[in-house]
Amino acid sequence: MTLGGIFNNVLDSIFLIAQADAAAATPQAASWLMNFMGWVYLLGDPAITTKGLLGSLLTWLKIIGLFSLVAWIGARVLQAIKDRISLPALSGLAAAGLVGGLISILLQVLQSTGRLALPIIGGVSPAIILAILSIIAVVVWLEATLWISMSRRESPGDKLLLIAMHIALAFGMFSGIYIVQNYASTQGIKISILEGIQQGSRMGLTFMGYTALAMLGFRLLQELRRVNPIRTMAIAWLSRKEATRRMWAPYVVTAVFLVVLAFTHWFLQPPRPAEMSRLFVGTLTLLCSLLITLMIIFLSPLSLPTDIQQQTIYTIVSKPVSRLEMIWGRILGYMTLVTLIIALFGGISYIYLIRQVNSTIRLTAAEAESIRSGNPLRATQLDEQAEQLTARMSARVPVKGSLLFRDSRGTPQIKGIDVGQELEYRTHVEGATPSKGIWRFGVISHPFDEVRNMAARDSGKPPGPQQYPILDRRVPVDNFLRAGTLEYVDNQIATLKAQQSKGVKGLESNIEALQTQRRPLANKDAELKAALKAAQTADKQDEINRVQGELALIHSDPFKVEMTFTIYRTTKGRVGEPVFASMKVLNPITSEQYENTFPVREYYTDMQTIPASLLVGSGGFLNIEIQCVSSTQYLGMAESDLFVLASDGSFFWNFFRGLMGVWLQALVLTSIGVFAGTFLSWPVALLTTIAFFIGGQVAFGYLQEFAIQAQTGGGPFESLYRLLSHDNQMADLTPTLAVVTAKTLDSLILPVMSRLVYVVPNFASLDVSNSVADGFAVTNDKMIGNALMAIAYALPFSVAGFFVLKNREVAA
Amino acid sequence: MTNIFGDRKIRYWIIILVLFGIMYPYRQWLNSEKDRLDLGEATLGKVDTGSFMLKLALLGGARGVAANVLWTRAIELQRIQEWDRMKTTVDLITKLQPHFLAVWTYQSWNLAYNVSVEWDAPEDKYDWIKQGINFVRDGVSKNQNSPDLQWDTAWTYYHKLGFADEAIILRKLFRDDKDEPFKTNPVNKSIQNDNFQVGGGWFESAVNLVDSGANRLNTSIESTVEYVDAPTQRKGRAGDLAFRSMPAHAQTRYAVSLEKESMKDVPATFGELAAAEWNNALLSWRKFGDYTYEAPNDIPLEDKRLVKNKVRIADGEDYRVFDKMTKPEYWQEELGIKVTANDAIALAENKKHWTDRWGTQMNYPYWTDRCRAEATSEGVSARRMFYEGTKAYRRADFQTAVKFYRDGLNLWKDLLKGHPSYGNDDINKKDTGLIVKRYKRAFLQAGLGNDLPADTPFLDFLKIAEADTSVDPFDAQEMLPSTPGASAGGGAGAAAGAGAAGGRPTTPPPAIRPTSPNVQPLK
Repeated sequence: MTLGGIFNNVLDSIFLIAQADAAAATPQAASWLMNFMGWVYLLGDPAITTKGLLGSLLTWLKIIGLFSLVAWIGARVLQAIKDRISLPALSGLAAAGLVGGLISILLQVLQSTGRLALPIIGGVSPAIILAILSIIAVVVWLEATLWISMSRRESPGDKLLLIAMHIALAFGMFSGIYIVQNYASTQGIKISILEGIQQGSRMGLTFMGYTALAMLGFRLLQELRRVNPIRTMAIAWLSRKEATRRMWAPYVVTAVFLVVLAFTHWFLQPPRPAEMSRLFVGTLTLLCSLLITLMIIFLSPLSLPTDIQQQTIYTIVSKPVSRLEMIWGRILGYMTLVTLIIALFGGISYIYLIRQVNSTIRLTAAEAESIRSGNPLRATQLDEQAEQLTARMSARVPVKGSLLFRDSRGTPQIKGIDVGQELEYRTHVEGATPSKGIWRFGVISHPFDEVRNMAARDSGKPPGPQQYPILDRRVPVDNFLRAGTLEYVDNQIATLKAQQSKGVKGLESNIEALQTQRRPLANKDAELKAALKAAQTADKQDEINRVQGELALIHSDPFKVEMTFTIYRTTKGRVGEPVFASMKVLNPITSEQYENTFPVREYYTDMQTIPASLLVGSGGFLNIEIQCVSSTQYLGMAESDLFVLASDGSFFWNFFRGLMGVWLQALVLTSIGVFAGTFLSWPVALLTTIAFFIGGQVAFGYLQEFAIQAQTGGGPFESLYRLLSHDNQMADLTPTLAVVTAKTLDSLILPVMSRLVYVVPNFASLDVSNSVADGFAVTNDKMIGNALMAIAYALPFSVAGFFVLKNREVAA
Repeated sequence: MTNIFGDRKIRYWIIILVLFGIMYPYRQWLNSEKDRLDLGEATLGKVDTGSFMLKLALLGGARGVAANVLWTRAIELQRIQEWDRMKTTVDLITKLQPHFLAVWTYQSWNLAYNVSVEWDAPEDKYDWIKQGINFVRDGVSKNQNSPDLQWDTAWTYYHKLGFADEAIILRKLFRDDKDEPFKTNPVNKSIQNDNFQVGGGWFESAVNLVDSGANRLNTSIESTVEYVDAPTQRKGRAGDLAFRSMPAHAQTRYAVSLEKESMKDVPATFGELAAAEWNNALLSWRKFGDYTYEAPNDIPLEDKRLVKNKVRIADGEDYRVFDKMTKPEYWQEELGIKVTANDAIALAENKKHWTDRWGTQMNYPYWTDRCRAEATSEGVSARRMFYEGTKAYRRADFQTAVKFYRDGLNLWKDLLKGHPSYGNDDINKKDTGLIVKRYKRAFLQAGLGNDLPADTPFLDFLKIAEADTSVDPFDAQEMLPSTPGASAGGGAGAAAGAGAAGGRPTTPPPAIRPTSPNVQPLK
């Protein structure tokens, strides 16, 4: 994407204008300036980001920067207070600012609840004017305090930084106002100067944050030079020893694990054999994760405070040991312990799992065999359950297509028919009508575009331009075609011919060579097919098997498509008769087709094998259409219900990756624990760590609601009021004194609380055990993403711990 | 002398001993309460360790909270169609609160009815119904004094397996099930192949429990709940008519289903066995009729005393007994009090009123009369002829079908002359009308004329049957398409239609079903 493109997108997102045509938005300004301001905007606005790694990194930097800024200013102000810089005029100003801010919020609440109608002065409400005045008062107080404090302390570095921050603020302010003034006006939107200032201060603060972050980075680099890996390891060793000796943690955890494992069957009885592995993988990972979390919660936040309390820390701080080593050493020590325990738990769980599941598969298959003659229905059911269980004990890599529908009249639709089910995830196709679900594979247009284009094509009109991004959902053809087989050679020839038709010259000799390679294969194929026919007429089973074996050698194996559909019946139909689906696989390049009809078994995975010849010359493009054959019945489907099975990976490595998720959770939690221990007493540190864990594991969704301030029923104070007065969450409250007070307090507290979501890591997203339990491979991308996320939390927390510890007089 | 109480250790020891002393009688009392309310965790030799450990881990008070969280989670899992995880979650709730009866009742119903209906294949449905039944049976084993839970168990066997749309397949799956404990009748401990028999056993067991006086209507947990609208109609109340009639209903159902192809591919049974089961049904009804209920109203006697009547439904079979009751001596014997002649008449009237009312309400005359009629050799023969006629009709042998139907109907007519209660009942009119309808079809198909002969019995029932186009869901002969040339009830032949190898058919349905050109569907 070009920078101009970024800029346009960015502008669109602030003004919420859906731009149909990007070209129309071109402003009059010079293009280099536009590009530059685009970047400035992307870097400066805290709420804007771009796609991919760069975007995540930027967001991360912005947030860390802002926190650094708050921390730095906070530290300086505290210092100033300690230095007893108190000019009566200044204190008065600060108090006036704070009181003014409170009154302004109160006025706004009164206004919004309709209690008070204030006159508008110059297009702006007096509450806003008061707020601005209060902010100015506080800023003036802050500036004065900082300058006076720094002058007295004579710290030129800080002064320099403060100057740099002001430059950053000024630059941000200027760019913000410039952007809003210049680009908003071209959109024909009237903008007040206030909005420009608001945008400017947002950007200014972000740039100030960068400055503070740069300073901290510089300090950190200085400290890093002093970090000695051997000393760090020594501290790590000590922490591990302390954990085992003083707390007995690993022994306790292992004992609990073994006890629970030994009695798992008391708590867990899978209702059906098919579900066994899912239940067990989920539970074992959960158990491992819970125990390790508990261990860390009790180890990491306690270590530093105990050392400080018992004054054993003197022996360390009196030596040339960096404070960073003290933090990282601890994290390293605990993580060594965690690694060992996870390896142990993982190993035991894996063996236990394999034994249990394999024996269940064996028993289920044996039971099916024993009752096959007497009770064929039940035998088939057991067979299918054993099959499901086997499928789940692997790491399937699905290739997902893009789903769209045709309804009962054949009209293209983005969703199928809604049969009124509570779960809206799946939509339906109607039986014995043109209704169908179409999965498209390849480099394909977005379903929104495609639905429009299909409708246009149906009515004989040319398709319109693409408005949504193109999707890459190609089938990995090379995975499926084995080298040296007929399909493989055919595919190569088709690829070269396709290039030739695009005008690429000099491919004739290559094609000729491939044709020579193909001829003996084709001859042998024809020969074997004739032999097979002869054997079948003669009904010689041995011969048939032999010829089929040889045929398999020169052909690629068929590929698998797996699907899970639900059934919605409008009539019972004939008792015991399943609903049938028909499947059509189409290679859109060569128009080769494969069709099949099969009974659908609800909540089971139906697997179909498709001849590899369908892939020849497809370039990864494929269309799979599913229709319901049984009239008056409906098939329910969603996009991820059908996929091409790219490969069956090893369950072991997938399970290993699941455990890696637990390890990453442990890493983040350890950093938080150690960080909390640097400045809190142990009970508080313990509670803080627990709060972080619960917030990130259980209440993350709730915190997200906080972040966008979207909770129904208002903030904590309003909710409390509703609880006490038995008002429901939706009802509007009468603006009584109590309600206004509650809302005012909420307005004060919510902006602060809503920022907390950035501090609490999403522990649940690090947990990949669900994919493992479902038998789907955890991809490398996912693992790398999770690892980066874990580091993105662990690093800042540990560094913050370092700065706290550095500025704290531990050995006082 | 130093005060020995000054020593801290001594003080602690004293506190420990005092507390222990207080705790000992408390524990004694607690244990006796536990025994009284049947809340003990261990039935002798059978300790539910999982439950015990969970409760230990969640130390007392937090149990309720945990159960609430799990319950919410189970509902959510059900919403997102995660059936297996939902079942596991529900299991955990019962481990936490095994004496909370509502959990067993509600969730077993939920599994057997709501979850099973979400699965399309009958064998999967059967699996979930079985899960539901086993769930409530687990509840029974942990709350052995609750007639409610036994009744719920019975109802699921009886109703969910026996009355579902897929009953013919579900009952067949039950018959073929190798799980012996699941098929054991709790009363006579024998393994039975019909869900109505096993269900009937559970109904009987529930009634026996009430009769034995272990009348635990609710647990101590529930009795502390203040209901807004207290459920007074608890199952198992000693006077509950419907509750007591269920063993007889189940037995009757069993006898009825013996005489049809009520399990897919299992032929009907007649002869001695069928007659014996009808006799058993009659015995069950007699037992029901023999129970003495208390009339709800008070009768004021002339000396202003109020007395309640005892009502026995079986008295309604012969009204002559009420004549005896108009005499004061009778009441002297029954109530042990002296009454006047007028009192005696009033009491007799009242008793007759309630006997009649409840007998009609429960359709008692119909059921007993039906059992008596069906248990005769004529009854069984007529049923067999109807069955054979239908079989012949399905293999397009219309001449034979006509013969069977005609002979059967004549036999039936003679039999019903002696059983007016049964003969005049609407259910019988509909059932018999259906046979006449089939007879007419076979008659026309056989080319014997354009209409049935005027002397055909029960011709007036034909109209009722023709107005009703629904099929009998409990008869595979009606539910499944006929396969020409194969005997419908013959097992092996009909199984071929379903694909002998795999159970469920794997080929799609052809556009037109392969029916013999001149066979109409049985409707």
